[in-house]
Amino acid sequence: MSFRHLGRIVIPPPNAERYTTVCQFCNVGCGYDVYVWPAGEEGGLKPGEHGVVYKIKDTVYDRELKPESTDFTRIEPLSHYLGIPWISESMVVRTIRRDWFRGRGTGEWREVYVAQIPSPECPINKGNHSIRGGTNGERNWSPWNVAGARRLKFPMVRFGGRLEVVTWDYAIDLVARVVKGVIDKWGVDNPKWGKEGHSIFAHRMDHGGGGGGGMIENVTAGLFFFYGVRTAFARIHNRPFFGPENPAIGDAGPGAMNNSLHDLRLADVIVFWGTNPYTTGTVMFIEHALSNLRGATADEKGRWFDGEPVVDTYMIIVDPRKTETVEAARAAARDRVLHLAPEPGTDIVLANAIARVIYEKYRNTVDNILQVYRQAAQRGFGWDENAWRLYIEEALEINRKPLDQYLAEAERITGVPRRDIEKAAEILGAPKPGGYPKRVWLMYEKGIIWNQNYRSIYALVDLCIMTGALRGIAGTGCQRQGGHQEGYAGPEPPPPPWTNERLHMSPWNFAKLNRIELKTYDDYKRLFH
Amino acid sequence: MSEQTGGKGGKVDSTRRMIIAAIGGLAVGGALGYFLTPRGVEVKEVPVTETVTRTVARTETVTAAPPPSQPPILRYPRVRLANVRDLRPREPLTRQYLNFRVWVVKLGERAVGGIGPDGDVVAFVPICTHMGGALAFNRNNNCAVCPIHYSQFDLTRGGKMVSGHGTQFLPQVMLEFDERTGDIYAVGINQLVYGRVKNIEGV
Repeated sequence: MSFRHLGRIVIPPPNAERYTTVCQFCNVGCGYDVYVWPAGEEGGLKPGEHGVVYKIKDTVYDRELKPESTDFTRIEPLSHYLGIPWISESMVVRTIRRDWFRGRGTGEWREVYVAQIPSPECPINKGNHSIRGGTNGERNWSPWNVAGARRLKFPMVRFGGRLEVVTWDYAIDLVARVVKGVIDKWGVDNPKWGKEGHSIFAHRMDHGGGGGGGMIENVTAGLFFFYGVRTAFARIHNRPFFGPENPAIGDAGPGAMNNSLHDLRLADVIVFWGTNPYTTGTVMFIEHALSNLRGATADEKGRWFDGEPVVDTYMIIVDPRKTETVEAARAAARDRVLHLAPEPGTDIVLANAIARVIYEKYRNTVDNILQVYRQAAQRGFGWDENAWRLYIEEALEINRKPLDQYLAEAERITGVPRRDIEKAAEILGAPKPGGYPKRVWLMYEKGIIWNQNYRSIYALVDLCIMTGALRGIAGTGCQRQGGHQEGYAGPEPPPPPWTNERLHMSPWNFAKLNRIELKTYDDYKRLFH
Repeated sequence: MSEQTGGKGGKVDSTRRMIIAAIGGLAVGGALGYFLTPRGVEVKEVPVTETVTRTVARTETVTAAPPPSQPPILRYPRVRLANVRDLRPREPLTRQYLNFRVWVVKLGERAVGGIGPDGDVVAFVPICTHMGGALAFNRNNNCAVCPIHYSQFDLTRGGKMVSGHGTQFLPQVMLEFDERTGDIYAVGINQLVYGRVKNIEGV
């Protein structure tokens, strides 16, 4: 809404420059087509009169878009599937650019239009978009965009309660003096403040994503804090420490990201645990999860399931709040959506309670799935029988507490009624006709990650192991949602100046540090007692 | 700037209505109204029954720029939609304005762009600005909801999207009210409507 809307847009002419890109915002990674052309030119509505051309034959999703399909006189609801997207006023922006006929950035300023249109060619979004992606166009810089007027352009310092603009020299000098003063007074390491006490606590950015960034920012920040200041206490990005965000799933085996949106379309049970994807991973949810829930992907399932029956999809959403995701899923399929609202912080108990019911009531499913892992182990895949036994006996307390007592405790701690726990177990564990285990697909995010992190993620991974979400077949998966497109080009960060590398404290790392051999079940038990 | 249209005894303050028409997505409210104050927008005096918006490119910083494109001038006709006595609270009437199917609805609470004795009669083009779904009116919260991806637009706040994926406000039909007869007239649409490249042919 940074521009005035006119009730009119201009269509890219046939000679518009065309680029392809990926949306700058969330984890989904929708495809966008970008068109740039001089102001004053405009394409017509019929194919051939404009520059919007789609040409793709997609055998996975069985779609075909042809250049002659893009007829802007025939825009209808959802016609982006047919290669006729509607271009909103937010997708086109007028701005200025230097022409680069004589080299980039050398030419004269020209007034141009930039259109950034969700691409019907891209199999991720197929032309769909969220409110973030749909406004990528108007987020391009423009002298006519009043949002730029509010940008922070100079460093500011609070004097007497009021923020005042200062020069860069002043700001750099001030920060350097504060850091030096703290080191002079208290030192860097400060054992008086505890085992990991440090006087300098750095919260530094660590990667680019939508906000730009890249190697120079990363390396200089690393050099400054690790070599210059020599503090070990630097947290990055959104983490409370300098390390991975969810190491538990790496220790458990599959790693943080281990399947595609295609698996989401094929799943029999979709679990969103501590995540609100209607709002935060919109296209993933509305284009793939909702389609699956409504039964629109049944044909695809038939092609991939190889004789396995296709059943109605269920969705389980675990969130203390009744989110927009819950409302949207219920609107799509009221009786096949289960919302569990645990007390914040009690997710481990809830996950273990569901797992306990599955283990006791749907033992055939569990045995079938364990068979897969054990066979895979004979072919060299990792499978830790002792750790599994430890989980069953120590976490699920299978020989120690009767089911009724276990569930009564879970109900009291989590606030989730026992019948809902049993319903979730039935959805996840009851086999399909023919005895096939359900294809379970689970996604978690900050509700779990910033909730005891290691143990809560591990509890979910254990539940996923039990329900077969880590079997490695189409339609299964267990991963975090993720926040945005990641990845940057740059050298490795400098090695830290200390010698003792700090590890996240997994049982395996703990054993390694303390030179404990993990061979028998009793060794594993000793770790925890 | 956040003044609304409102016929005063059948006589319409033409200048004021011109400005409102020019601002377009007006519902942002007073504070943003400052930022939305059009720079490089010229409001042209025309006869009462027409709404004119004109964009003028500011090209001082641009050297050797090609001549700017012909600014679009959209002339919306003034069309009678309904009489205020036809309206029941929170029950939208479907009417035709140009070639748009529009809702005229009495919301029962003061609304942005609202007219009538209580300032609560508004009109919208009920097509979702995300993927073109036909919206349903929810009388409990005065919102329009899309059945496809559940975008939701608040009709009391100028069609602002309160949840969902559309990139624009719901296109609002600007109205005039004739106090003498109770007639409600449509005089323009403030946003591009889904499926269109332009709402009406520019002149």
